[in-house]
Amino acid sequence: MSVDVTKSKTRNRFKPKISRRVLLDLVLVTAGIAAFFVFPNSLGFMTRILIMIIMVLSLDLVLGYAGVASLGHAALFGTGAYAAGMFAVYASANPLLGLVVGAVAGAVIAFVSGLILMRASGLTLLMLSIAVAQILFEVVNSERDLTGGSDGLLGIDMDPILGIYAFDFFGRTGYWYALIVLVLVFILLRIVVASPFGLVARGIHESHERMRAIGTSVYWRLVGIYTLAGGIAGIGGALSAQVTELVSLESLGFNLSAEAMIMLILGGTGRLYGAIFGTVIFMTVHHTAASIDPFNWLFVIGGMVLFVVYFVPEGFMGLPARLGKHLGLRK
Amino acid sequence: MSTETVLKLANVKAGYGDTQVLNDISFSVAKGERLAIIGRNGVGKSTLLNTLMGLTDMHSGSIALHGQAVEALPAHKRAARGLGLVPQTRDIFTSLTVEENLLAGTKKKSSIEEAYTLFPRLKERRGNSGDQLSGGEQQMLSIARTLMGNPDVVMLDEPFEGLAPVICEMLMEVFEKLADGDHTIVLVEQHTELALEFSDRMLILDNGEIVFHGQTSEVRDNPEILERYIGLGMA
Repeated sequence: MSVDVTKSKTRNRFKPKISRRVLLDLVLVTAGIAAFFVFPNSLGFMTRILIMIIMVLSLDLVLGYAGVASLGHAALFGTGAYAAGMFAVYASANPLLGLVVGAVAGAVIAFVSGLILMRASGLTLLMLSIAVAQILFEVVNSERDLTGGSDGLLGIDMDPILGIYAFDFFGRTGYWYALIVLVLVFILLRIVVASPFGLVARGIHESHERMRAIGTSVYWRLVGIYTLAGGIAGIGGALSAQVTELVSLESLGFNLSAEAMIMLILGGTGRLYGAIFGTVIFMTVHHTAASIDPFNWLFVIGGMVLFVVYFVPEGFMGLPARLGKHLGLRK
Repeated sequence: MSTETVLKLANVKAGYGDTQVLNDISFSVAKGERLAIIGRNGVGKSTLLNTLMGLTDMHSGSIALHGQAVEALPAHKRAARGLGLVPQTRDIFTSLTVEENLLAGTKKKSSIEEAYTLFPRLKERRGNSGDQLSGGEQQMLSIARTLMGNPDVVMLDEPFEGLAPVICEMLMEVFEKLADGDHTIVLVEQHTELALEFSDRMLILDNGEIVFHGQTSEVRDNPEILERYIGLGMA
């Protein structure tokens, strides 16, 4: 009953993709390790990049894979940060326990808010996601005794990781800690997006109706995806609290949500690597441009976003393919 | 074919929002039966299948699957109870590979091998993404994807549209296999000859209403029925 359909292309994308990915993964991990030695005086900044990558990866799961546009992702990150920070101040300064607390808090807030958010779509969803983050922002701001309000949560003093590796002034421990957590999160996400659960997310992105017709409860799957993303963003937030030993209200702010989305769009959505490259590019350009011109640095970011939107809608990750096509190297 | 009723519609009125497309549709389908629904373009054939699947707005009436009311259930629950729709637009996930399309949301990975047995071509193309497939392969994938849900009733919305005769023939063989394997098939088709060849019973829709309902043999013996309701003569 086999049919010879000769018109279609025959390129099989399984094996080459896997080896290319493994190679890229190794390059990225090597770059992460090398950066420690090449830029020993910028460990704090680089740790911030690593933490931000975790948040943007989490957003990629929601936006890039499931197609859910949210401008309130800071709600999940900030919740994780405050939960881990308060846990350290009031309960235990164990970093790994704090990470778990941050993940759970991020997941819980994502689940609860997701019950409402995932019923909406488009502009309504965007507005509701901002509203959730703003509500949390105001709650944290008003509970000064507990959270420090606008002064931020102070007094975090983390124990050494595993009782051995103490956080140091130069940020060496913080960098390795953030890098290892990022690698683990990335591996987890890689497994998730390749699993039937992740494939459902991509299916939902393409067609809600079709996913329903093949037996998927789109709403509950979206809530599940959002909850997982909340857990990951919560880990990012917890890391931020532990490494900087401070949680500020900005971790729940609209700016952070918007920047995360810009980073993802710059890098390219729905491929995980986009979150990594987008974050590195955005934060490096931000850091450099802001140090050159503290007032007009946003022009540079704005220019980059315009470039990507008009010329490389797939993000910088799509640039090699586009260039290759342009130069006739690819069909 | 058994006499057990699998699917029963009674006085179904449905459409999109307040716009009513289907008017007072009633019929039933027995287990293992092959029902063809034909009619001109825009008379509500696809809307009927979408209504059965829960993808339209039902205004009144009832739909029973295996004797249980499903009209209030969302599409995914109807799918879980045994309804499967192969949409006219195929709706495969173009960013996913063939294998990923089949795996998305499924709990039984073993079903993939069954799908590959039915469509060996898909196994050869398992690593290709949906947008790298020909029309015939996309249709095979759409059918295979629906079958992954293990439906009792397979609803096919114009599955032969735009396909080469050789592919149509091959798909017809697959549908025959499914029907012989106790699947109930509801086929919406523009190609009247194919519908006549395949089905046991026929419905002709016009303006959202059933204007003819009878055995396919009756239509074969009286081609004027087609002439009368859809303006088609038979060679």
